[in-house]
Amino acid sequence: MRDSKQRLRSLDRIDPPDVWHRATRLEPIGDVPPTPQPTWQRRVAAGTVAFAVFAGAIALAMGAFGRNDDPPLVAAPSSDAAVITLEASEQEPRAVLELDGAETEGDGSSFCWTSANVGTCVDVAAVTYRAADFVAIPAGTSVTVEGDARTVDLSTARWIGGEVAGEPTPIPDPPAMPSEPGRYVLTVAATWPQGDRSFTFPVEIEAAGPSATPEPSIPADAPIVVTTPTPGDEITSPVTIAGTADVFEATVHVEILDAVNNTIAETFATATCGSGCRGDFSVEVPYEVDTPQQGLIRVFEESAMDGSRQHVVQIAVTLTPGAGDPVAEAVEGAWTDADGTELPDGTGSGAPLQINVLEGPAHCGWTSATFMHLAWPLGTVSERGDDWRQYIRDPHGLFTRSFDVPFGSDGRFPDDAEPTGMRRGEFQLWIAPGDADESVYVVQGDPTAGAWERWPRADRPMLCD
Amino acid sequence: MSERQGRVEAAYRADFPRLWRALYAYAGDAEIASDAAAEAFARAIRDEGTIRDVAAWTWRVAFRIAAAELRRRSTPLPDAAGPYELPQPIPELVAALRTLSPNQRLAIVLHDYADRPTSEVADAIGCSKATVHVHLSQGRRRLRALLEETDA
Repeated sequence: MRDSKQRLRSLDRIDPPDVWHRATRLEPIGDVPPTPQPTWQRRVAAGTVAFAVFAGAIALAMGAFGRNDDPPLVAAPSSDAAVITLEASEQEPRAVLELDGAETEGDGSSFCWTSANVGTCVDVAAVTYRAADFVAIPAGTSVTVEGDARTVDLSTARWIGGEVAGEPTPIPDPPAMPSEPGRYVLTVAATWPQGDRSFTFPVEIEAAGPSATPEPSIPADAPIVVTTPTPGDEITSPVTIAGTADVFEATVHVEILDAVNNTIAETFATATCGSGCRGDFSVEVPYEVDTPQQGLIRVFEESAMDGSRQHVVQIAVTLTPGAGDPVAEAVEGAWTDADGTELPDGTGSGAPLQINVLEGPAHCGWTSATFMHLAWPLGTVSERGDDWRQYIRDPHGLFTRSFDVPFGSDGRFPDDAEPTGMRRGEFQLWIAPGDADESVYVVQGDPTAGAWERWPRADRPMLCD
Repeated sequence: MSERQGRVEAAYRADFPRLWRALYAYAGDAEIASDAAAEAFARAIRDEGTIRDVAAWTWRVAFRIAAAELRRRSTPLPDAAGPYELPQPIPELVAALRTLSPNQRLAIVLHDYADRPTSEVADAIGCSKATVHVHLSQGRRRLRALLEETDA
């Protein structure tokens, strides 16, 4: 039987077209593909216009690429904002950041520029920053852009260990500095009719004063409103994150960050209505921390256009480890037969397996589930590693769609269920002949007292790569 | 050629054929694959100074663009045959991929064809890594069932 990877290898026989010249737009203007550009191809890359001008075709270039569709920037001065001024001179574009009367010149990238039908390209060496270079700015300071640029994109990226760490995050609209303290590189990518250029500013975001600590109130008609938890809450795993949203395809993304900004949980939730109407959303998110610490819950929408984050709502909370899951802790580990003899658990390469019960692997994010591997037929010992079944305790619904029956203790405990003799502490493994191919039962003490769980069988074993 | 363009072009030369084929397998359409790849590399040239790993960045952006374009069209996936003369049995493979859910298809193409790590697949879909494995498991099973029917 061929597996998915082998079958997909046949794709390697396709010979793709070369799109490099399209990506760079270095080809002669006359060779622009005759098909209309998709609407999302809204801008062309830096070199286009300048190189076209070298060919003496400025009018054609400007017309062909439709730059005039981009609206000019509208300045919105504000006294307490950081002001970025973008100015194009005859020779080169510049960017200046002004805060409290102090000005900082942005470090410009390499660029090509056209003025009076003369094109020039300038290569600029990449810059690096030292601690003293970072400009202190209070968290959340609003940003105003002024000047004669036609379009501008603002983004920030964390600066850690002497380099940019992670992907840049677009600055939302209305523009403001990040709310989390730390060193960042602010990137301003601007276009003018003469060309385009990016500028970077090293900034150090400082925690806002106590008066600014509470999250800004969010109007009830904002695209995403989180009602639970509220800022300052002490939360335990799993935390329920709920609110209302009016977002594309009703999908909101949720992530939890720990005290050092590691993402420790991420998922998404579907609102009851979306794409033009407001719906409720609620999602239960398990996470793990060792000690109580500050954390952040982020809820946001991903742009349908380019995947960027929009309408980000941040809730500062205290993350606590929580009480854990007593059943999971009790059943994970070595199991015995009725006489108390430990059963082989398959640990080690080629080792025999009768039963093992273990926590889901952390590197696949499965720690909220417990896996049972049981040699089959029941009572046999698997020597070859292929005659076993997998059952999953899945209280947080990680694998719901892989099961024919639900995890839990809904419904009746089956009349034909019998103890197998396998046990760990006060927990015993029971099997009902009527549904033995679909589930096993883990029973604590007396099943008639209701202390039992149905562990569904994974229809194909879930294996974490 | 500028230095920044050089770094992006090196990534393009190393990675583009695989990226294009993966986009094609995902979108079922050569035009979307080419447009998304070209746009992603154009943005990479523009934003090179802020990108640490050009290959990973262009994969993510290209698939987001392709997904957005598929949503924008809001129509069933185009005919897999397209303008491309494809060697056998690729049309059957692409047709089978089309019957998967978009997330299953994305997971299978990125993980099983392109060997991208599950963390990247999770990022592309917008889900947890656990959910990626669910998409992979279900998608592989469905793909196998469909293609074994075709083989028979």
